Amino acid sequence: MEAVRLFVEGVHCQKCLGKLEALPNHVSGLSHVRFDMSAKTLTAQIEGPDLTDLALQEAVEQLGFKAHILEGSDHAARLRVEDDRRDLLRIGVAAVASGNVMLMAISTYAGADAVVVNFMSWLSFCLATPAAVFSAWPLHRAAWADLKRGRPSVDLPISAAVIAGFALSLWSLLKGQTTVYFDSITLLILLVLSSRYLLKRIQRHFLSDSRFRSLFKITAVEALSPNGLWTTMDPRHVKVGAQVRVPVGQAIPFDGTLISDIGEVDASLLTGEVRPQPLRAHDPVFMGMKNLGRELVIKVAQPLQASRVHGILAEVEKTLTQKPRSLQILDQVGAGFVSLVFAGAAAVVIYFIGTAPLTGLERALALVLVSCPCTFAFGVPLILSLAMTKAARFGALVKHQSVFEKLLSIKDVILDKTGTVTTGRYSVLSVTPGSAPDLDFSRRDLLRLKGLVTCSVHPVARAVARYIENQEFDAAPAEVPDRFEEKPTVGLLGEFGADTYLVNAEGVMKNGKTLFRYTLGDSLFPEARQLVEELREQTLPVFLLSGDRGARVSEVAAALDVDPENVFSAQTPEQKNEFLQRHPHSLMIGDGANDSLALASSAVGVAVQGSLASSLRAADVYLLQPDLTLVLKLQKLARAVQRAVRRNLTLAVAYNLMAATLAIMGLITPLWAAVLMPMSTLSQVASGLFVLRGES
Amino acid sequence: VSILFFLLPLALLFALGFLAAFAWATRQGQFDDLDTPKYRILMDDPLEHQNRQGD
Repeated sequence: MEAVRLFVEGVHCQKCLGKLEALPNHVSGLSHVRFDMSAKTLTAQIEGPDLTDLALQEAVEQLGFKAHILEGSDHAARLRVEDDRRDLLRIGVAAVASGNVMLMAISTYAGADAVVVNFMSWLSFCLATPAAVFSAWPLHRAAWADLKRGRPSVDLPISAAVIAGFALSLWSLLKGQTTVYFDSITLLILLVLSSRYLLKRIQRHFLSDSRFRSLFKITAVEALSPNGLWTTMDPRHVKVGAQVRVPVGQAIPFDGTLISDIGEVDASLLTGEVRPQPLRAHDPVFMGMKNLGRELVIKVAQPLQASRVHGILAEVEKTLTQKPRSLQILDQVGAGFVSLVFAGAAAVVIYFIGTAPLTGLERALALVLVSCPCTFAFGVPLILSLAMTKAARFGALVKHQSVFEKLLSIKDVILDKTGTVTTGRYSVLSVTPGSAPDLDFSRRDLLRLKGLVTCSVHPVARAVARYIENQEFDAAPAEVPDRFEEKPTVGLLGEFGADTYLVNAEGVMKNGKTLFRYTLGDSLFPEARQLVEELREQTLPVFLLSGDRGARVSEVAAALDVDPENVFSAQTPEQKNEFLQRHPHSLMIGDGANDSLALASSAVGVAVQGSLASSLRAADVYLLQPDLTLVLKLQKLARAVQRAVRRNLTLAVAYNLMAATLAIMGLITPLWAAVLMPMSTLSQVASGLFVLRGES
Repeated sequence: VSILFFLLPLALLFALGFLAAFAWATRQGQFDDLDTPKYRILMDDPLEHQNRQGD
């Protein structure tokens, strides 16, 4: 029994859910299939040697969804669940405490008997203690970590406010007074924890980086052993200089050189070019190229870990860990705020030290308590989680909060060609009748052709197959060829009785005569043009970076109306990355493994639908629909977020100035705190809701 | 007034009872996935679905 997790795209409705969860009915060895709609994660138990995670992925893709295998042990997943549950429990404790404490506080403020008030204050103390210790534990821990690092963040003032409020209340209880702030601090804890839990839950769904399995896992290769026999080996044991056989349709497992005289590969993973690339003996081949033509033999030039693809992936990981993820504005304002409040508190203590040190301490504590930064604590997380939910609803998964901020400071937009502005698939763009119109082209020819092209994995054959499928055509069964052969540089040959058909990049021939010709190409997404147009209106320069050859790239650039000066073709993944490093404030939109490095080093990396797992991992935003204009929507949303955050900060400053003045003058009473704190909270929440609702 | 000294702790005991129930439900995983069950409830048994279409 082994648990497998897949990230599945395209599950929107209950019907899709039903399809997925019914998988065990037709896949043997599969059980306990559960799909989580919000996390878009499928969890299943697989059993037996026949079923692997790859097979499960294929089964899911056959249902019409795109699936990515998620990394991470069972243990890690369980820890995450435990963590979530503990958070929830902390919130529960805080909720019980604050609810009851507030009820009692109301009667206190309403002027109950002194004996009753005293009794209630002690009860409140009993209730608030678990909230201040157990519930607020993560806050205290984070604050302590801040202190040790010497870099104050938002957690520090919150934790300080809780501790100050608690100390102040306990102090007054011991003195026999009843000026307690338990209602304010329990409510504060409850609100902070809830808003953070919300944000965390939303971010969780959106693909934490470590979850995607990098590129591919090749478990076995066929290598030539010294005794001249082909043996199946673990790729890690294959030595440099060994010969390895690559079957048709599989990825080349090593960097090396070609030994076979001739071959054909799909190098789109590295170059982004979908056109099959012919190879001759001694040509270099790279890991990740897909073998199209016929079985190839290669000579291994680099060990597995030293391959180019591995290098790129390692670089991606490195870049990702260096990318800042928190909201800069919060860090800056937060740090300033903390030092201001503590400086004020210190000043108060010093001012009173000669005359009334205890009063000074009380007022300083009151200052720390009331100036608690609600904006940072939960106003902003709430806005961000609302914005992320909204983005997800229109089809853009935002991985972390800083995206909204960075989106507004971008200076360039860089587009990949293949798979991003174009569909990334070879398809038949136009068809013209052949040179022999007298040749009768019957329905039978079409059925034979349909049968022939499905025998091949070659992009040309696939394109023709899709074209035939899309034609108005009754579902008669395709005819299976008696014999077929893929000849590199010639095409796909098929024999049906006495007739021979040939399919190649130009057209289809029957017995040496052309039945019809077609133009093959990679068609443009209509939204791409709209995106470029709107970006131009914003005076953002648009660049087109492609691994493809010059002519085709210029063609696309012309269709998109991108300035020819901003078009770069034949770019290697490394060159793309260098370009990004020269343009630090850029938005990169891409899909392939050749883009993953650039996506990781861009300010905001957007991976489009159908991207490879490595790009998903590197990107900050993932588009669930093949619609590039979502980027524009996201930009708009980012502006709304910025407005909301700024408004909240202004409100917070006004509120804090008022509260701080009251505290220093010694006018803060529990009632004032109880009124002021929820007021600022409500204004924060209302402001956030208001701004984001207006933006739809 | 003296009744308060009895009623208040009683009310808190109730609250603790509910907290315990909440903790139990959390441990059971009732709150792990809040989005999917609402769809799952609508899922038809495939056989039943066919029968209804036959009507």
